[in-house]
Amino acid sequence: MRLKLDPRTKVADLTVAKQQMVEIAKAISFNSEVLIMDEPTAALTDTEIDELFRLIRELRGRGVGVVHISHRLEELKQISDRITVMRDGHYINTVSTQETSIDQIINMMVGRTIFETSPEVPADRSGKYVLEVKHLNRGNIIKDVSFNLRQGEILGFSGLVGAGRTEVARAIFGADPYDSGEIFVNGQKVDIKSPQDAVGHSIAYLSEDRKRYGLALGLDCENNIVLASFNKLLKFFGWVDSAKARTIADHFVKAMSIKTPSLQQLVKNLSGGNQQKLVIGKWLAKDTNILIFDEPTRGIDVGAKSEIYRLLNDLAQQGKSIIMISSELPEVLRMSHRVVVMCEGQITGELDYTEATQESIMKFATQRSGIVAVDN
Amino acid sequence: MTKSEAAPKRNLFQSDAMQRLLAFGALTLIFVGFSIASANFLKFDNVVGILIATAVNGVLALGVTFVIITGGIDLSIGTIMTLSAVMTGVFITFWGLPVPLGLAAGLLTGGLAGLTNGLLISRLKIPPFIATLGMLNIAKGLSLVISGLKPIYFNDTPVFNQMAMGSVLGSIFPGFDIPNAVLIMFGAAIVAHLILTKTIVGRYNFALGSNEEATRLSGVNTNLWKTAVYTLCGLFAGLAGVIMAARLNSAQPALGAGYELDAIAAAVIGGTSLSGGEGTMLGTIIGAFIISTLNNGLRIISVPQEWQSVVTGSILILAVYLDIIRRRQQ
Repeated sequence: MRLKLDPRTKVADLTVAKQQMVEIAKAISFNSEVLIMDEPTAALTDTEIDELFRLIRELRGRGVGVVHISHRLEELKQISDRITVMRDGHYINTVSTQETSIDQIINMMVGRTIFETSPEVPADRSGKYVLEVKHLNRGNIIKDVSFNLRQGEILGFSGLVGAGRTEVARAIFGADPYDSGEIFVNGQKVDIKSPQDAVGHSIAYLSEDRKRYGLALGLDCENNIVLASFNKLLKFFGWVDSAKARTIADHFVKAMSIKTPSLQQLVKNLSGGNQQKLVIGKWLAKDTNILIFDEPTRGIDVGAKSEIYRLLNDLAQQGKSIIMISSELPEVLRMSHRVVVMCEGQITGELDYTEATQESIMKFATQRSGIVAVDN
Repeated sequence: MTKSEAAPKRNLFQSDAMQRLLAFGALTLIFVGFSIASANFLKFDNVVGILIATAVNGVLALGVTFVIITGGIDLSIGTIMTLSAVMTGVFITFWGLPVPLGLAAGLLTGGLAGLTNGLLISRLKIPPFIATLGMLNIAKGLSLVISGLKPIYFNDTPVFNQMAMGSVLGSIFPGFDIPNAVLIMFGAAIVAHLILTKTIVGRYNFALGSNEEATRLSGVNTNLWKTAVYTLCGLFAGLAGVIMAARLNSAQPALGAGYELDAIAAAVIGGTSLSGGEGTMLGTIIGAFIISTLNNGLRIISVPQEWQSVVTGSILILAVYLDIIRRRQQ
């Protein structure tokens, strides 16, 4: 494999590229007939990728079958003989690499769906900037991310899984630290080091994993709804106004049609859709101006989905500003006034709703910056 | 069509209230059993003996219940108790300060130790087991150092002993000489219950125990409230120390280590889950009484003292196991 390496080196001390080579060497040592590689070039430089491809071609020459999983279409064009496209767990097609263009592949990756309506975009699009993020960086995970959010806007954040959208959201929300960058809320620079800071600046974040990060499953509905709002419920000596808590919780259960036998029902006993509504209820009770929704309709049935879409539109019309992270292209197209697309930690594209299509989003989502999708 | 909201509804048997009812039922059974076994058991003096014996452990158990509900543990409550007793002795006997100041010193010592635990755990991210184990040893050592390795006596201030062993109740209702220490314990239990169920400390307590990260991501300063819980536990340990010193009329620096186990056992027997998120003060008090009643009853029917620990340990395991079975049907 032409690896200049002392066999006694600890793997942890190697570069990622070398680590990958070691893994491949291990696979080869088994004299495998089939080698499956999952996103092998994600952390490699161009030179290292060339070296990897040389290796793959050599393996191919020896009769090894290689399955190369990747979203980097230009690379697949370079290295593969055939390309199989999957979408949402379904097999779509297998095509000959030489005879298929990247645009055609992108076409296979996106689907035509039933409801692709236009978003309810406010007539006046000149709201002030409620959030400005400038040059946000975190290691290899967030690379020079800058974007703005206007008041009353629904900003879609699209991209493939692992593109870094959740990481950006969590950094803005103070849930994770970041290396450098500036955040401005309503024009003022803010220093957000914890979720407590973020909430103090009227930012809410609804995690994509609501059971793990959004809800205390062992607590009842009431406590989950008021979990972010206790500062409004305090009387003397830290006494909690439990009547007020109950009223607030009751209001939101009714307002959002959360189906639960009582406020005392433990949240773990609710269905996915109702749990998600409860998390939203928590942040509505807190009443923040900026809300970041991370995959808001994941694991939710169609009926509850449309309720949530309606809710998001209502919030935007009331003047709240929303960032909606979603991997579901139809959803992004339906709801967003603007779409920001991320790929491998960077923002690769920004589209107004008038220009956004599934293909254009997918093009940005699979693109490493600096490499233009070549159409042949 | 939304899938059915059918939650596996917990039946009445599995509710929290049932847990406490069962614990209370067990206590009653034990009481009845020993009354039958020995005529001396239900004598007034003996029952008072049980009440007094529960006072110190009960207060310790109340404090540690807060911590266990957050999913943590505090192994240092026994030696913090001793350190608080010693500091009370220093204030009252060594320095001759007024008794109320001594009481405050005892409580404050417990609170400061608890605060230290809380900071170690929430800020430095040291696991509770380790942090409080370290504090256990530190408090033990400090007690010996400060006291000069000898007990501190309160002979010059008999009012201190009277505080615990005198009986306000007895002076109002003649013949009903229940020592004040017992009233203090019940008072502490009421305060603990109110804190847990009515205040924000209590609500955040359960939230931390149920899902600390979700609580943090809801904008709550989890470091602050976690520290508050451990400080609270320390305050209760301080109170226990003051009660014990008053009762024995001395601060015994060598005592203390080991008390935490009975306190934790009491909380767990009373239904506090070690994985956090569940627990009641009523249950803890019942648990404390179960332990002291058992110890007392066994002594009355002449079971050697060594066997008391065996019984306590067995009851603890049995109680937790029965609770696991009861919940399994969910």
